[in-house]
Amino acid sequence: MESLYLLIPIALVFVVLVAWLLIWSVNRGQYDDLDNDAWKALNDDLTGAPQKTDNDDRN
Amino acid sequence: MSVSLDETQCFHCGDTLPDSGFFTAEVDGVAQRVCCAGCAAVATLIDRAAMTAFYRQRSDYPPRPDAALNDDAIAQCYDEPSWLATFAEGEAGCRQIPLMVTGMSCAACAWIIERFLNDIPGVQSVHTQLTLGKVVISLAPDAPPSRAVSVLQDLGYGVQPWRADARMQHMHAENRRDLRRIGIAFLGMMQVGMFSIALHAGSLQGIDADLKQLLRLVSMPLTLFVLVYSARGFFESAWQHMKKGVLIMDTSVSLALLLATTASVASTLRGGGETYFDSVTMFIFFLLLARYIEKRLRDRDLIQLVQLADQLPEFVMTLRDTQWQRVPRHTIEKGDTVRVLTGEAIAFDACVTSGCSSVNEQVFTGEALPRGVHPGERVYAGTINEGAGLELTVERRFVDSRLAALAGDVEQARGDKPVHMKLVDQFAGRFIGLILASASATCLYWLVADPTRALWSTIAVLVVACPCALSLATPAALASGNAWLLRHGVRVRSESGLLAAAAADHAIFDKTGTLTETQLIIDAVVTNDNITVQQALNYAASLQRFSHHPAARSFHDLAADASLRDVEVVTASGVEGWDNRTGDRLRLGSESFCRDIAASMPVKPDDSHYWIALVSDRHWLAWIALSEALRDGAASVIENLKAQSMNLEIMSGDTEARVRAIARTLDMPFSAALQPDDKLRALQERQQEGHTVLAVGDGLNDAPLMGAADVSIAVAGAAALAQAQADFVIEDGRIESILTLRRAAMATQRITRQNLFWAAGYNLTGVPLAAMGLVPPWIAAIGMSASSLLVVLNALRLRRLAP
Repeated sequence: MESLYLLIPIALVFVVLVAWLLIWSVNRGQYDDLDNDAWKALNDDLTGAPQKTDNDDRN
Repeated sequence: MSVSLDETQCFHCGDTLPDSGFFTAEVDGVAQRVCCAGCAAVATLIDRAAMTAFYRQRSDYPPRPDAALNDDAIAQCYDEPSWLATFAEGEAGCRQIPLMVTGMSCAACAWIIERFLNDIPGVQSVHTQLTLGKVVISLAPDAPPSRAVSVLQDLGYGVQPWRADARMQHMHAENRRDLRRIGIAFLGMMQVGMFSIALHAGSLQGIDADLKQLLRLVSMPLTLFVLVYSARGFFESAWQHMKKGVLIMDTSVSLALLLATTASVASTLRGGGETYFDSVTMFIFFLLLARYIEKRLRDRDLIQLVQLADQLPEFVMTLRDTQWQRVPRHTIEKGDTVRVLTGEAIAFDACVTSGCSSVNEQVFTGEALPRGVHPGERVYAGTINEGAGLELTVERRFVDSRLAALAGDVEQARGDKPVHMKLVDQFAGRFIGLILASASATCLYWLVADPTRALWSTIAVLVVACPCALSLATPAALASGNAWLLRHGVRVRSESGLLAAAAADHAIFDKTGTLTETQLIIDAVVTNDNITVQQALNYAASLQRFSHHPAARSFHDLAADASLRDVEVVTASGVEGWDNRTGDRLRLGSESFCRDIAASMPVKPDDSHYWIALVSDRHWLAWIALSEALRDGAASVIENLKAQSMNLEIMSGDTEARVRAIARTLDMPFSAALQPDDKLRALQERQQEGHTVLAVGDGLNDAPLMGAADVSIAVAGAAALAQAQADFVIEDGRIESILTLRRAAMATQRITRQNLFWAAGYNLTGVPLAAMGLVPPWIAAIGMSASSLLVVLNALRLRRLAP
């Protein structure tokens, strides 16, 4: 049980780190658009580069 | 997620395909039906760019492209440096162009916009914010912004500059602050919760005393940080109200938080007694989350209001140095001459100097057909020019216009709206007094009877009486009910609207556009003896084919094979043509226009329809009556609401005879020819009689009424100002959704009552037991968490309501 005296403070360090990361990312605007970004992350179809198809005649 | 189309809908915009024929566009090698050339062009553009994944992924339809908005001259204006400087921001080596893009309906729209813009040379990055309808483009300094603007226009979206607005900035900052607070509360809850599982397990099977103390010592700073960082809002609002001598829900929340934390800190430092760190963090997290969900609904409302001011065209044609130029609207002064093209909105209150046209004033009057205007007459900001081009002299700028005045009235009416959430706060005021009294009584009793038990019995009372469940009861049920409605075609704009919707016992309906379709139908035909109804309609349809007047649309489905020549549309009057067979001149249109060539024609049969005359040289041929068709389902909605013993009435700005016709069909009382403020006054009378009033409308003229009503519903396609006032917006004009809404409201009310009953019951039975010293503090803590959880879970049952 002695290991807990070391592990619990380490857990606290992690909490502080994660809290800091969270605040940093919110302030950077990463959570400003909850609807759009949530959707984009789940759609593999739309994340890649547009695939060239036969009727793609743009230059 | 993707939308499902049936055969009568446009593949691109989802509108119903016109009966007169459809266009086709090839998408992924399949010819798809689209409603207009604009949609065909956009669909082809998307197909060419190999971005057809858009059509599979979208969850809502993009806007139907409006040819009037797609104007390269407008795009060119964005290259004008002095004007661009009014809203663009510069950073070293790149310019940020913020644009408001109207019509971004789902995330797929945002995706396609980003992809198209990123392909433009000079575009460094694109950032879209779907909720706000905002797109920020970072451009190389030498790249012209007009390319990006014209690409957006080609895709069918409306583009306007995004101007910083104080309210929006405040909302933005608040959103980030709330997210930080919720995030921190969540982390605290999880971490402290983990420690307390160890503590609870420890109290059952034994735990090393030093370890127990360590777990409490680490939980304490975490909880204190969450309390100071995340729960700050409760303390601030409680303090603000305390200074005014008002006790609200936040007061009891703050008190409970402070007491539970103080007691826990005291036990930790003393090394004995109970701690409630886990309950405190959990309570903070759930309460913040429930309030955040409510707030996001309110924010959407604000976004609508802010966008409203920008509904008028940003650029207007004006005469500068003897040349017509497109200039930004805000540079126009009183006395300037502007030109308004067909289909454009008028941006000022102005006087017509040349041109004859018809102007749709439905926003003010609720009347479906446009008013003819001639030189010397006045037109108003916010109305639409439907006829020919007009030249106007500006009399009042937008800020002084009739539209702006109406918007001001609406804001004021909104302030008078009865607030239903306040009831909970009133309740809280009494409740908190009761708790304090019983806690003091308990303390006094035990000090006399057994001083060693005084402290813990008092704390047990306060913990048991903690109104956590009570304060979550209403918000949790509302959040759940609102989420259910959103999935069933009703957009929710205010969090407390559901409570009022359940309580409503009086409903006021607007007529035009709400109970009726905006499209008129041919109702009756009165002819002279020499012509059959069929012939009259054939002539009328053949003439109307040339007209774009809204009334003409009613004729477009009829057979039109009379052979005519030299057909001419006379704006604001009617249509004239020559019959090839008889050589007669024919006229169709307003009474005065027709009487010019057939002085002997009879007067129109009644006032309850829109009558159109058909005459040939010297002879009257027919009167054709147009009337408004009831919306599908309107009759069953009315019948159903009557069965729920609601009082119903129609309030319309239209003429009495026409309103009477509709009111008779639906068997409802009515009042007609009302101005917006008449409607408002009538509403306030009903409210003073003690009714809870539901208002259903669509027009700008309904906006003050809807703002002040206890609860209001806007039919989709309604004027933006009306939508912004409404608590609910019905999608797709499906008026039956009113019944869905009402059922959801009833269910929510039921759940709220169960929650309140449970929460109050728990507190009322718990407090006496705790006061007698029968409840150990750890049971009190579990009871507190369990009762909150039960309330939240009960609210979640609403999601399973049958549609």
